[in-house]
Amino acid sequence: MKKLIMLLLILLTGCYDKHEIEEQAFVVVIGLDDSEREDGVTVTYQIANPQAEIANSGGEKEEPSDIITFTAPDFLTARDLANASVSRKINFSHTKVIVIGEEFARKEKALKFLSSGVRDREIRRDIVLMVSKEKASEFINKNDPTLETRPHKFYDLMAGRWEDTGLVPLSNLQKFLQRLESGTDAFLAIYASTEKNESNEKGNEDDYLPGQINQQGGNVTQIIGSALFKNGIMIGTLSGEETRLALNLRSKSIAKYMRVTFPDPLDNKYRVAARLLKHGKTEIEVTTTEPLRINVNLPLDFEILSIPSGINYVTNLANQELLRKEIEEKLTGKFEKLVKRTQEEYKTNPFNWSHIARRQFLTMMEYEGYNWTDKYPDAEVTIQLDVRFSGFGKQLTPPKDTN
Amino acid sequence: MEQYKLSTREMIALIMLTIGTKFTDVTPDLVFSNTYMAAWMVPLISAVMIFLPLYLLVKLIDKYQLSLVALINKLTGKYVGVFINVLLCLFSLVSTALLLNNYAVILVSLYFPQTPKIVMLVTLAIVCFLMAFGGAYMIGRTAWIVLPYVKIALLALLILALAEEFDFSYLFPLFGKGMDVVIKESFLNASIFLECLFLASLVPFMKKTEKYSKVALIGLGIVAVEMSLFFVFYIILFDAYSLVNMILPFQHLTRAVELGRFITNFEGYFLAFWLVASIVKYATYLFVTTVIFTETFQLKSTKLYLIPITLLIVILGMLPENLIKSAFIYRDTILHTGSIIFFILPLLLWILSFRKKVSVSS
Repeated sequence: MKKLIMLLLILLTGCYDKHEIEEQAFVVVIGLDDSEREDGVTVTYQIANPQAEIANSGGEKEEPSDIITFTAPDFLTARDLANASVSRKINFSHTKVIVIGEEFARKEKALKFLSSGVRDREIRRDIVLMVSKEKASEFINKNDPTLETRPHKFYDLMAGRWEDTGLVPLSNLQKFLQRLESGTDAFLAIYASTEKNESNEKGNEDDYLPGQINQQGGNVTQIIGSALFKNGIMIGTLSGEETRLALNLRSKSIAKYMRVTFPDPLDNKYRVAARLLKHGKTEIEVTTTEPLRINVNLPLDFEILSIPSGINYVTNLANQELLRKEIEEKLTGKFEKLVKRTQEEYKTNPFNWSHIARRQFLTMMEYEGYNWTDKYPDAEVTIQLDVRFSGFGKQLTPPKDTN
Repeated sequence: MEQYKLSTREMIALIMLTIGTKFTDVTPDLVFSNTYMAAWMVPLISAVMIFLPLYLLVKLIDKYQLSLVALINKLTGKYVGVFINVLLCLFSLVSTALLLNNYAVILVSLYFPQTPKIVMLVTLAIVCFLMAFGGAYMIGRTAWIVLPYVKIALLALLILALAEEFDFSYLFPLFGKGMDVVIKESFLNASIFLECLFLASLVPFMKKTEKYSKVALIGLGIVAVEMSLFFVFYIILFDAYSLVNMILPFQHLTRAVELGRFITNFEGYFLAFWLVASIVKYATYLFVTTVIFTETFQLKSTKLYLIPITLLIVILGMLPENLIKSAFIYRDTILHTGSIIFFILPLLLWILSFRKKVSVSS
């Protein structure tokens, strides 16, 4: 028996795939850009340095990450090429983000590289997909998070913010492939930039594209809004506000809350600030007749955060109703505008409405025969809001100026 | 010696580990590729379809108090009986070899990329051989011991998967490519449950032969529901349109789940349970194949013949070059012919037993 155990110890060691953590280079971010080579792609790897800035480890003065860019025929085989300058074994199993340059994302070539990449065992389907306005290599190099030392944490936290603010969508490879393979709905990817663009001074709290926020100090990176992909190819962008609206039009929006402002109906110099919550599921009814009819019923809770004009919207019930009407009207208008835009400009919906339509069919042949994609641009969409005031903060009226 | 025989719970554990782990290998890929979002119905409809043949078989086993091999021998006569049994043995041999190859490839391609496939295959075969060498009781007891751990791990996986974003709309259009396709596929894939028939060769190792009818029918019900449930999870998480393009949805599922933001990438934990279940599964297959062989030729020592049969399985398992090849060979030769065996053999035996009764009474 002892001999047998000895034999097993030798047989079952499995030395072939031993990994020494010291010998691994964990790529946290992969950047993809078009290359001049017809069959190639410019790849950027941001490799984390786990040793950096840990006291007494000898890594106090080391950089938190190493960024290398080069052209290769494929972003996975590129790892061998990367080893020409990186001493450790390139490992993708902890990759958090794939950044694609916008210029590249608008080409079919990007889709080919991206969708073929999922074959690799180390590429996980929960990798976040991000589109950068500039070249991905530039974006990764310029991104300099001030609060986070480690790059993976920055991207991890940023990608998680969608759940709270709704300014960026949930976008990962899994969702990308799902939308691509079912071919009926558009996919929204996180949109980001490190470049300052013509800033949009008039923008309110969310009506921005990345690079438009007139911000002083902090990280140059702005991650807001989304890039719209139709059949895997980027065709347009949505601003932060539009992304929020789009997420709310989905039956399964997870945006927990968002802070928004509305023009004050009685004093249009000011805006009323509110916190918006979805208290129920968005009810979507799809009637697959000719033309396609879509009814959306959106239950929204509002909590007033501030009323800078000082008008009493709290105890004055008539005013309250006025504000409610105003908000309902303004928001409905915005939703309708967004839907129109997707119908006319993009001819595809980022709201996953085809999932609702699917329920009406018994077989795939019937469903595919209905041809949702062609029907959507001519669909009659009605949006109904059900706005409720849920609270007014912890103050009834603004503090009175007794003078 | 009575206490070293298998009871009902061990036999059910064997069924739950051999059939109840099939949704973790290439079986879903084979089902999904034709039925899309209706794939979850296939295990249920299949189970209903094979209920009657299986019922006839277990009743015959009850009546004659014989194992599968001995029953075939008795009812079909010496020559035809040996012929059918040799066929069954070959079938079991080839399918074990292909499946073992399948698992070796899954391990190599997803977890151990540097390991040569032959090393993986031989290691798996040695471990399974050692367990099978312990005999039916050892396999059955091991199955009973590891069963709760394996099933709790699977349950934990499902609970974690609930935290991921899923959508019940993916289950629609309800009938996928049409009800006719679903029924056809259910018929062709009925051999998913073939172990219910093959495990009947272990009847001599059981405490009470008549318990086998309970084992087979209850086991069939449990694994059919379990498999269907996992298929539903695959569909609502990944969407059938995506599923037809991705192999091994179970491995994708273990990679997708996470426990909060910090505990991610823990598919290795599931791998451990999966491996244990697989080893019990292949030990059972090895043992069943050998038992069919030795009973057919009325050889005394089962253990002696385990060695050449394991070797043969390893050699056969080396033949297919990759997962897709072995999966397709498996489907076209094994799954489909297996289903036909499953439907015809019990009916044939039943008719023969009927005739026998008539001839005896006249």
